[in-house]
Amino acid sequence: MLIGFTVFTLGPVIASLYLSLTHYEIAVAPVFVGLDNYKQLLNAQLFWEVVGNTFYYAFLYVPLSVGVSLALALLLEKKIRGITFFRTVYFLPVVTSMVAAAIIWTWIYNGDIGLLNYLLSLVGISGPKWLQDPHWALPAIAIMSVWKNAGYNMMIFLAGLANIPTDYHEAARLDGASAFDRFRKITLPLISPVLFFVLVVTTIGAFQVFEQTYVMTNGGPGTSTLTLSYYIWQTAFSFFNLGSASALGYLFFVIVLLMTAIQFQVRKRWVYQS
Amino acid sequence: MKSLRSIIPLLILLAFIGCGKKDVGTPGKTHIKLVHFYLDQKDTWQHDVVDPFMLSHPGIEVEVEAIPFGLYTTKILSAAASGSSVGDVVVIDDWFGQELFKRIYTIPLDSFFHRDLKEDDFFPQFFTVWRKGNVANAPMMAMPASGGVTALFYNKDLFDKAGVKYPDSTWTYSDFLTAARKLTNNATDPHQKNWGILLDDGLFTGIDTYIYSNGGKILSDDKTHSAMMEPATIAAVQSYVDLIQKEHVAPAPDPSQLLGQKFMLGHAAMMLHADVAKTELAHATFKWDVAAPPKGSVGLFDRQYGQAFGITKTSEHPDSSWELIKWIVTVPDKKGVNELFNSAMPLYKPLATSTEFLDGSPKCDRRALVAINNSGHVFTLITPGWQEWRDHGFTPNMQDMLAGRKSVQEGCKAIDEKINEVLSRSRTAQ
Repeated sequence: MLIGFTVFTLGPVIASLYLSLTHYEIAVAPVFVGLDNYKQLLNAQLFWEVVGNTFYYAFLYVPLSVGVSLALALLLEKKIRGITFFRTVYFLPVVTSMVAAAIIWTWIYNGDIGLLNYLLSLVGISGPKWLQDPHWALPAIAIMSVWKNAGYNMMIFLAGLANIPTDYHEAARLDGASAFDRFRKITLPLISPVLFFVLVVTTIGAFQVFEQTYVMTNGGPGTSTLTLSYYIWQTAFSFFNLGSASALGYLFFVIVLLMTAIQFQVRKRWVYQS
Repeated sequence: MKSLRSIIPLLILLAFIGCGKKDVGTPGKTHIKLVHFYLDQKDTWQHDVVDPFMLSHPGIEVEVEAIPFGLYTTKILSAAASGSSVGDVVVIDDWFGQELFKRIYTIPLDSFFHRDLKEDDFFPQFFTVWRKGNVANAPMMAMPASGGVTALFYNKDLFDKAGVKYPDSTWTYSDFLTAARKLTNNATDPHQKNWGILLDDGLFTGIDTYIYSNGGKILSDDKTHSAMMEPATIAAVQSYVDLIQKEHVAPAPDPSQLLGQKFMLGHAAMMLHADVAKTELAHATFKWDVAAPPKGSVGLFDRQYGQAFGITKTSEHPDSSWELIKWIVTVPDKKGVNELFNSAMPLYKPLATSTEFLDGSPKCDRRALVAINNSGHVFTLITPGWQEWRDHGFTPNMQDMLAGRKSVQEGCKAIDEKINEVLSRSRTAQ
């Protein structure tokens, strides 16, 4: 186990830290350049655009994804006939290939002949050219990602909801509490540890968005959907600049670490500890 | 500690197994390995190249490994980085060739070439990109085998419907625009809408040829600086952008669509595209053909691409490997020559002008494309870091210009800065 950890985890982590301090094109031996890669990246306008895109995506995706997952879980926790079928249906996108889903959604979003704009036209709305418009491309990818991943968080929420003793709800109902009050005063506090977990994992997942932008837009239009993971991949495997890609990887790590640390700090204020 | 002690002998054993030299091949024969990415043509390679070669060279045994194109680059470049061997003879695409040559992963082939082959039998303008550093007279690190240029693809059904004469080698961009206007219909229903032209939005599948033929340049002649801010380049880009913004004969760029998608679906009458697209059109539901791209203000300058074969520096049998390469690039019995390189044009003239290639499937006017190669006006944009300045500079800014989000002046300036930044960084690194 120790050997496996050293060879496959610790080794690459240390090696990539060293490589981030070198000029290393894949076919040429690395040359130590100190912090040059970091300086170049931090001074490049494109890097900040990419960071901005990634945060914007996370800002759109995380609340939407968590909200939709929780709403689905609340709807599907009821013990009614056929509930297993509905749970399965909502979970299906999770087990679907991201690449296949992204290709289908590319067609759905087609500005001229796409299904989405057709449906919008039925209610008199002229939809935008989703993936051709830099203002809509990233929101469109976020919506697709919510559809794809909501089922996973829904299952986690369902497990959390199942752990809430029914007596609490019954007692509140007898006291005349409304459904919204029960959700706010009982459900939400009791599933707050689960909600926290989902929030952390979903945020990390949002920062790692890759396949969707790779398949659906290639980072375009312009650079409007160029996100950090895609940027790292391009730098490493398209531009063969492994030194810079390693530095990007570490900057990415620091950003995710900071976001997670902030979430852990804020947790004390809203996560209910029994 | 105890468990560590039990693991050490196992590691030593594994190390010995790993270091052991694999004994392959038939005793008494020289065993060489050919690695290529023509996975779909694997059988053709075996039956039409490798088997006849082994019959003709009984002392050489060839093992073939076909790797999917998507994995090929990573595998070859990883091998170059680690100094390990993937085989004796490898196929190389021009977009990553220089990365291998930096590491001298392949050996120079000049002496073999001058000993056994004649330069006049090849299209010489395709050779420079295979020389170290993309510099004329530098060592030739791989033997060019196949290549292609940008072609003008056209939908014959849409031309017939609009009563427009098919393009030919006399066409200018003025003829191109006149035809495009007639071929663009006024339909508002997207299913009925036909465009005169489908433009390349910056991936170098047509725009480069357009700019150079109209007097502009993307790079300086020595490829060390950007030429995007030269007045002729700005004028050429402006006229290209005008095809969408002013003339309305081409749709706005859509990065979510596959390259050439609107043409492939029969909604665009013409497209400038790398001629390799002919294989994708083999099963098109409409009649189509290819012609030479139109002539611009300075004639026709067409961008080239290509593939070559190199002998890895780890090969223990360079002479036998060269014999195989010689066989591959000349294919003595010309069998399978159309399929071998995925219908790209062989650079050995007797093959390029053979009926086996010219009349190969999919049928189209390949003679027009061969004529471009004969003219000599082809160019390459391969530089150190070229993909970075293309993907982070040229393409996104060109998309913005074509969509009207940026002025041509602004867009060209941004591209100019990116190209110079990347090229300057590459020079410093060297």
